[in-house]
Amino acid sequence: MKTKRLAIVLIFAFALTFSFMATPIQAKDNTLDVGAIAWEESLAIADLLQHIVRTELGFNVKVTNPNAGVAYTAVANGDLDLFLESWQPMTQANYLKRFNVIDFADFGPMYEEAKLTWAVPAYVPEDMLSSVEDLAKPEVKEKLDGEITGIDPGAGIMNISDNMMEEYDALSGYTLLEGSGAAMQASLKSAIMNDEWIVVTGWQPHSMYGRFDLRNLEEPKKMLGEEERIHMLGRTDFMADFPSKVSQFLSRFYLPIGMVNNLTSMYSDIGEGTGAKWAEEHPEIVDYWINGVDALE
Amino acid sequence: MMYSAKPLAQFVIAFLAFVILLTSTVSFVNVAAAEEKIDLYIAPKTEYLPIGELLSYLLDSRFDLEVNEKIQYLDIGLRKIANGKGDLFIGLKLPPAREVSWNYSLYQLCDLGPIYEDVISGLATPAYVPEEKLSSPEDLAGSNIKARLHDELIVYESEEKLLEEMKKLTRRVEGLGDYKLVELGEMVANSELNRATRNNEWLITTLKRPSIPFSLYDMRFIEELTEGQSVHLFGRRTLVEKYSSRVTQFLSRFYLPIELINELIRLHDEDKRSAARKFVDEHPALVDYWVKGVAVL
Repeated sequence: MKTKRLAIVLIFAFALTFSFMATPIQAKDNTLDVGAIAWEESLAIADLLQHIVRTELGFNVKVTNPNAGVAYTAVANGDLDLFLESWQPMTQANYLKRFNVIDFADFGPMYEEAKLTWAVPAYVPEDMLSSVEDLAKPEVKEKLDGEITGIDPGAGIMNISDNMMEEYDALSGYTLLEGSGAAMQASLKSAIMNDEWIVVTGWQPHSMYGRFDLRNLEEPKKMLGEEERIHMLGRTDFMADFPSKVSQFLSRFYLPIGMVNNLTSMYSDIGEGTGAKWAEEHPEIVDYWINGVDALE
Repeated sequence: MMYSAKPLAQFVIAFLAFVILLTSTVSFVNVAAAEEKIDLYIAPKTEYLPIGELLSYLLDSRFDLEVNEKIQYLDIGLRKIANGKGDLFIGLKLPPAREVSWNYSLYQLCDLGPIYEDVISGLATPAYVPEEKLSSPEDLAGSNIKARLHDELIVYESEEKLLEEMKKLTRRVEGLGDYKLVELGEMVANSELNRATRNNEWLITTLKRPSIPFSLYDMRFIEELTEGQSVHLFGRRTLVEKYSSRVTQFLSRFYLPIELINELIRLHDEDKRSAARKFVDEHPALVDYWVKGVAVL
């Protein structure tokens, strides 16, 4: 009797140990570890990706928010499955130069036309203000009260904008206002409600482009840089470890910048749950991402 | 005489003006054309050429780009793209199957992502061979199976690496040592496959995907002898600066399932000149998506 009880206990203990050993392996196999920088647009895309991968492809998604440097290293070392915000070719050039093409499974651009910007509401007549150089016109300067509305001091766009204030003669006599992202958006909203002129510093994708009809000013000296493309980087053995339905979905996952702006704006309003709502509103796009050519023909 | 000379002078002036106008028009056209050229390098492999020609056809017919298509070996093609001496390169499989002799950072190239995935070589059989009877190399050891296969396994002679893998497999799996590895040239192997499928005969052969047999016959793998790879489209780092966003976005969306790659290779084998046009005619919805994006969904 004692032997029998001991055997039962041993079997139970073995089963328990085995189940503990097995659980993490299985969980890892069914979980996509995604790194999304804690920027509004990145979080919005992560939320969408998480929703689709979970509901359509049957994988769990764990989203963490590493900074760019940590994310590149983690994906290259295989500690992270996917990084959503590889800005190429300039913004993250330091990291891009450090890693080789074969260190990653690059799923290609997820969206393009990302850039640092100076923008005005679209109702500001284009024939009067379409370029930073137009800011020299006295009537334009008067309409703007000689102000450029910026964000937090120290932000990359503010450092560049500071340099622009020195480099462009057209900006002589203007003041770059420091504040915060929220304050800039509040000023923009207020100006638009009152049909007033305003120039704001920013970047796209950004929720303000989803909320308001804006136009970017041309910047002839290219101090704001060229357009960037945002790639999704997977770990190098991604395709060996995940079924092809997942990698094919990621290869097809591509959005025009306008939709990224809208998604970001939606995320700014409702946060978590944005992905589910967006997917419900755009079933045909999700269908193509999941089913590929079968969804088209 | 004076009167008769006047019309002649007028004619000469008009003629000269016409020549000057014509010359300036021609030189203007040349300048415009120079800005709208694209260099496309393609690695010399059966599966890359049809894709290169499809891409070339679309860049020309849908984007008015003059495509300079050239065959280039991998090392040279990538080097030219990295040095900015070329614009696009097709022919790099990732992750690489062996150590590579080149070393490019993410900064030097623009990886536009996979244009197709699921590239695999393995041991294949026609789909009509019942899966419950033959689905793994271990099943080949059965005496009934051996008899159905006449103790022969076909190996495509051009695939040296596959022959090695097959030899390893016959040593590793018990009972496969009696099989004769029949090496056949590509044309003979294809015709043997054709004969067997017409007569519903059982057959096992090494096969790579994509390939023409995968398009002609319904085949399935019973063993994968290589790791899955994807073929990427690479561009110069400054692709986005050099070409309009219509072009770069098209390149980002250019993605095919492996079945359509098989089909494209078959069309190219049937008639090299008309393959791209036929493919475009047969898949208008997919092409429309590549060219116009989500607007067509």
